Amino acid sequence: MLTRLSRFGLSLPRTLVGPPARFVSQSKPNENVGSTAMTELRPGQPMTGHEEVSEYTKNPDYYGFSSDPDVDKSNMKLAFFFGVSMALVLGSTFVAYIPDYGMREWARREAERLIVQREKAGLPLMDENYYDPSKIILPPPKEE
Amino acid sequence: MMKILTPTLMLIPLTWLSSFSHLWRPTLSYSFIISTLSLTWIKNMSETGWTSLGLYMATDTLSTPLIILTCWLLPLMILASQDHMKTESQTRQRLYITLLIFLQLFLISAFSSTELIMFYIMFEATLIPTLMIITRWGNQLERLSAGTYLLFYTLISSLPLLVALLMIQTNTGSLSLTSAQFYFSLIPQHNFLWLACFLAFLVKMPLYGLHLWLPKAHVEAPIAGSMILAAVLLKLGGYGMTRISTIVDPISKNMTYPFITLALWGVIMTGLVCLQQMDLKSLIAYSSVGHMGLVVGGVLTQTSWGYSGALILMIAHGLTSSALFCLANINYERTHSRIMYLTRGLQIIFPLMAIWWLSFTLANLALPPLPNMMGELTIIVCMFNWSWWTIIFTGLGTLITAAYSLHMFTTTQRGALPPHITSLTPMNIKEHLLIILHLLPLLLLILKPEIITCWSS
Amino acid sequence: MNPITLSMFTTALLSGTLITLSSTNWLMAWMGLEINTMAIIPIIARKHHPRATEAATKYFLIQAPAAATILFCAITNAWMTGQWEINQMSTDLPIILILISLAFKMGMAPVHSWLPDVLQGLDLMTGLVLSTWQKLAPFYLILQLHSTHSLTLILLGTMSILVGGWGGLNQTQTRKILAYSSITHMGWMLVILQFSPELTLMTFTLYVTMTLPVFMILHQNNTLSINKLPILATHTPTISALIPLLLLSLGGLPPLTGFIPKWLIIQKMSHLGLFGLATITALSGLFSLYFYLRLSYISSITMSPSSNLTTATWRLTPNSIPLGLKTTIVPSMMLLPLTPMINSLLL
Repeated sequence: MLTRLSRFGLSLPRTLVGPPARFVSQSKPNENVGSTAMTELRPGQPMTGHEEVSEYTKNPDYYGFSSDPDVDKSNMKLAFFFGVSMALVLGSTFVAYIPDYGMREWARREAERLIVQREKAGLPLMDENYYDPSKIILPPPKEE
Repeated sequence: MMKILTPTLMLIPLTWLSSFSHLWRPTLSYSFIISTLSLTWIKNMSETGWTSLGLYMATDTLSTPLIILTCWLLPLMILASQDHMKTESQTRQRLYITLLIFLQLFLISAFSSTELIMFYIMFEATLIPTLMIITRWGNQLERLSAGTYLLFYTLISSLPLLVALLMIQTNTGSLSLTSAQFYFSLIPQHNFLWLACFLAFLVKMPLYGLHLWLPKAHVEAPIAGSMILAAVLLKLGGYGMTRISTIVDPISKNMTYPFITLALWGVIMTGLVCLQQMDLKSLIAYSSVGHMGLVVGGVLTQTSWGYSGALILMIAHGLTSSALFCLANINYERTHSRIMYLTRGLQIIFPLMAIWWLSFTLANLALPPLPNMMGELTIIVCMFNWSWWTIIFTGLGTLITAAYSLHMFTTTQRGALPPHITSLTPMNIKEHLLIILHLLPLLLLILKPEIITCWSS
Repeated sequence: MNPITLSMFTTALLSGTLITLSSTNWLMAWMGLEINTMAIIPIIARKHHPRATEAATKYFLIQAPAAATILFCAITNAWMTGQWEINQMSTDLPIILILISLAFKMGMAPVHSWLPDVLQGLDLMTGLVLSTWQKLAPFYLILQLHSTHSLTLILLGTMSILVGGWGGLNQTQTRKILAYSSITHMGWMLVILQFSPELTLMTFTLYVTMTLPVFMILHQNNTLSINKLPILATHTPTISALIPLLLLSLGGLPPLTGFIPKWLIIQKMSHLGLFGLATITALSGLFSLYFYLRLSYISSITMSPSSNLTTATWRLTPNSIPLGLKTTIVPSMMLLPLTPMINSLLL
């Protein structure tokens, strides 16, 4: 495992490199902190031509979508358009202005209207029977 | 229903007929369009809760957020697995995208079916694409045993479910969810029936003790597999449990005691496992088990607070854990290691990524305005109301969750770099976009939480 | 083998089964079975190979006493009741003996152990005939005896499902695995036989539909042991991508064809209140799923560039897919949405 990791030690002086890469400060370590930062560069092994070539060597403006710079750029734009402009912006606008979610406002309006109506008619505000039971005519029970 | 299912189905010919150099572009764009269209299901104007009612399919306020999450995950998976698939041959790249599309198709059908037997078939159907994604495109040889675990854990627990469903069908003559309130009094009240109905979902969640397949599958799966597994497939268990618990109601009262206890115990145990975890993906997987323990507890109390807390936590955890797996994969693609002690101190190299790590760490430990916190708090309150002893477990669980989340953040981001890391390829725009597309929905949900809380209230 | 001789034996093979299928009399049925056996033995021994001769001998040694027992039971029955009708059996002893000897002829547990050995000596196309057409005549006779002795049928059925799964776990030869798969499927048919003979017939039809492409694929690439399975990916890449689905369909995973018989059988049992039996049969079907899963891992999940255990062959030109395979591979995976139609056709 550790032998494989040695290829990440392939770091050239910053002025020489084509591919941009994030480097670690190579200054003298602070003895008090006990930092594990490296004090010297490992000698870079000669390139044999079989290592992974960084995409940034071929295309400095690499966006991560494709190795072809034109396709890369257009894919990036499409992904941003559909992902952010359409799905997130349009979608959240739709969700934010959605009318009466779950019919809660409707239920409240209905309840207020019912209360006003019952107050006018002098009925108690809450009643266990929604309909007046005397007005419901049930069919006569079956004769066995 | 068909206005989403048909475009999803037509993504398959799109995948196979578009030219190879433009393979990822149309699939990505069209899946984004599909996920935008799926938002229209949020518009719910019916009193019964069921909308877009068809012959066998409908959505209600429980399934809508989960379906939208499924639709949202497909473009994100396509975005995330592009680098992973770069070295594969043309046909296999197409096959991979096809499997992801099939997974979305089966998941939408599972979440929206109103017949329980169709739900069962679709629930099982998701296994085959998942199995293939894990065992074909995973990285280590252990992926084969992970696939076997996944398949057999699910099947052993879900075949009794099939028998139980058919038993309900024999007794009531119907398995329709929309008319469940008319026939559920005819269902025989039997403890074995209850167990058979719940076991499949408890394994899928997974409940602590039945969870061994999950960390294995997560660790071995490629990035898209981990994302969909954490984000949606686990929620299939929570969804099924919520649905079935409204049907087999009265026996649940006593039968739930051991399972709630086990779930809460699992929250603490998986938290402790996370604290000593070396493997980044395994840590995130165990944290999923812990969060799902809370969901199990919430659903099994069978109160409206429990249900709606479970739904909020499922959606929030879906986005969070999927994003955490993406972040872990971004690390993995650069360092080729999941071991946390070999990839620590990355803030020095990727300062912007440290912000993403911090955001999702905070989301994982349920920082206040985020939906994760709404869900956890709702469940904790509901559990406390059920029995106040549970506050010991939920409180301690929350504490440990915070501890391991911060441990994960400090280990991977803070401190000094290990000596072997001297240069890494920078993060690119695509990966930032991927994380933003996880983060923004999570943040936007703070502004309108009622679209994921509404069920049963 | 001389084509004329071969066609003669094939005709005898067909007519033997047809005689059994059209007879109502035990003597005629027995005669058909014997003609059938006598016709297949030269076909088995067609390849001049010690294993083929061994298989032919074994097959003869098994089939002869089984047929003799059937004749003996028929005579006993005629002696006790005075008639030879197949569906007029009424006494327990001849019924149980006849069921067991028919199971012996089909190779069902606990009298199954000849089947993997015999199949191992055959080439795959003869093996296909042995595991489908050769089962038809005894299967038809058992179908006629469906309402006679339920305990024997259930025991034979569940034991076959279990033994078929268990036996296949340890095999490395594809033909033996297919033999055990056949035993398992026969078990499913027998378990449901007394409750719904139509369902048994449907299961048999679907088993033939599913097992046909498997035999044809393996025959086309001459894949005799699981070590050779990864070669499928270089010879026939499309088939190699489909073979996990095909195998999981044989194992009965839900969205595939193989789930139809399992679903309907479990449904029938639940309707009759046999929940315990339904659960046991469903769960013991998982044993065979394990070796199907392992086969699909080897055939197409661990292919290049992942390391596998096989050295590649030289001829890398893709084989063409025969028409028969093209037409059977689709129904063997995707019939599940047509379940209502299959229901109304066969039930």
